[in-house]
Amino acid sequence: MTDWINGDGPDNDIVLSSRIRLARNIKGMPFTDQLDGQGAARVIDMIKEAIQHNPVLARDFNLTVLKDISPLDARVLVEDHLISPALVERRKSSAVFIRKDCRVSIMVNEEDHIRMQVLLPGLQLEEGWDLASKIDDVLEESINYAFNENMGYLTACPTNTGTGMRASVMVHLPALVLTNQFNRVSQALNQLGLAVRGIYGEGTEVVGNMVQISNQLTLGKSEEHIIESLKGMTKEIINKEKQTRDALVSGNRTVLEDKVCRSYGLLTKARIISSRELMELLSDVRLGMDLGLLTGINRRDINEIMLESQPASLQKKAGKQLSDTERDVFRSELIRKKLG
Amino acid sequence: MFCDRCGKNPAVVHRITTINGKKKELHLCKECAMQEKGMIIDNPFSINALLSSLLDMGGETPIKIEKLDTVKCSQCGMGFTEFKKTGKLGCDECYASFRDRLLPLLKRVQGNTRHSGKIPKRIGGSLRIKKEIENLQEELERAVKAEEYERAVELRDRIKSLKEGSK
Repeated sequence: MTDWINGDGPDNDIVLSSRIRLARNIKGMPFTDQLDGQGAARVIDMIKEAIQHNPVLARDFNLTVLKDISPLDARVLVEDHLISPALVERRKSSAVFIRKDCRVSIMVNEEDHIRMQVLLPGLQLEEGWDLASKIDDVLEESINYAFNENMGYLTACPTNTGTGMRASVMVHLPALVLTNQFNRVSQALNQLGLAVRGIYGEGTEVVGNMVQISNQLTLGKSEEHIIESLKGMTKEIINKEKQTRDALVSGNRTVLEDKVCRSYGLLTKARIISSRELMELLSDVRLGMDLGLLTGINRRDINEIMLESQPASLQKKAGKQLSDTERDVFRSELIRKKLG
Repeated sequence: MFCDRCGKNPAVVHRITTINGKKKELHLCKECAMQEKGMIIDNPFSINALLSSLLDMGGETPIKIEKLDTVKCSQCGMGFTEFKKTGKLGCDECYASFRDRLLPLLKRVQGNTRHSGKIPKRIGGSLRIKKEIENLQEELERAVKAEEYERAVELRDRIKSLKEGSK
């Protein structure tokens, strides 16, 4: 289980997690989608050797070959944010090395040969880059990367070329959404070259006031530069969200308390809860906890509910396939067990 | 609000037209809107489609594009037409084979065509230093423009020592 769910980390009342993703390819090899089965197996072997070459990595990483696990288990890995849906789409030829603490996963044969991801709790972009870059250095000792002096790390899609890096933060912005300021913030971020998305990544809408912010461009700026500006903007947003939260509490304390407690009531008493409703209720409860309006709840429980009540994870827990309605019922039971 | 046509589904597409001062409103569900003339429903947005359409922009004549489209990658054999369809290149060598067509695309998509980030250690120290000097020089220009003279002096000294060290 990923450790960001413990809910620690700097600025944890607003930033859930920070993520660094690096795209790398092997020099002289066709990119993943042009590889035949043999070629794909060779790529996995090369990365396996590179990891085994280093005693620390060899000790800390476990290999999962996607075609060897059930489709349900693969979906659970996606829901845990350890692999991407694009890796599952290529399940015939893809694999992933996951570090034991689940902070790092190295996906093999995703859109690029290597997609490394570091996921840390709270606002820790620099720490994430530092870790990703170190592992990158180790891999590079054994693997000759596709790299060009002018265009940087070469990737299957030109939108990733250069640093091959996508840095992102997952932030919870209930006050900005509630006061209708979020759209303006989102527009400003777009103008500054940052992408704003829902919790499930590209093309998803904002659910439960959870927003993912990431850099759009990968060429022309250094990794440190990209991270610095993303971090700076995140800090701005944190401040704005905090100010708005304070204003809400001092201006409409009872109204806010009512909203938060109603949601808590529904969460702990309802018998059928859809995943969308859950995300909305959890957002209120999270806000109530952050502002001290609700006591006796901890961040870990909230994060655990968010992860474990996703469709595949629920069915894994239930040990059988569940229909939509059965899932909504089972979800409510799981929540009552945690919060009840 | 329900669909004006079928009355069954919620209306998700709204059109308000004003002709000669007369306002007309039409509210339709997705299914009915698809059949309505003049209503355009966006398909799910695809980055690949966008990339391909960016490739066709710019001043080149169609004839020139056709000529270039027969270009194939010397390593993996992918044709440029295929890249235009999928938005994905075949291998690292494609970047060299399609260089002339990719550079304007990168400029449009990324706003830049020069990498200034990490360099693999394997590529060698001299390139790293060369790149670092280039980056520092850019920073120096910015510092001078912003009249941050202390920072400029600091940067100038660092550039000087890097240059001397690499000789």
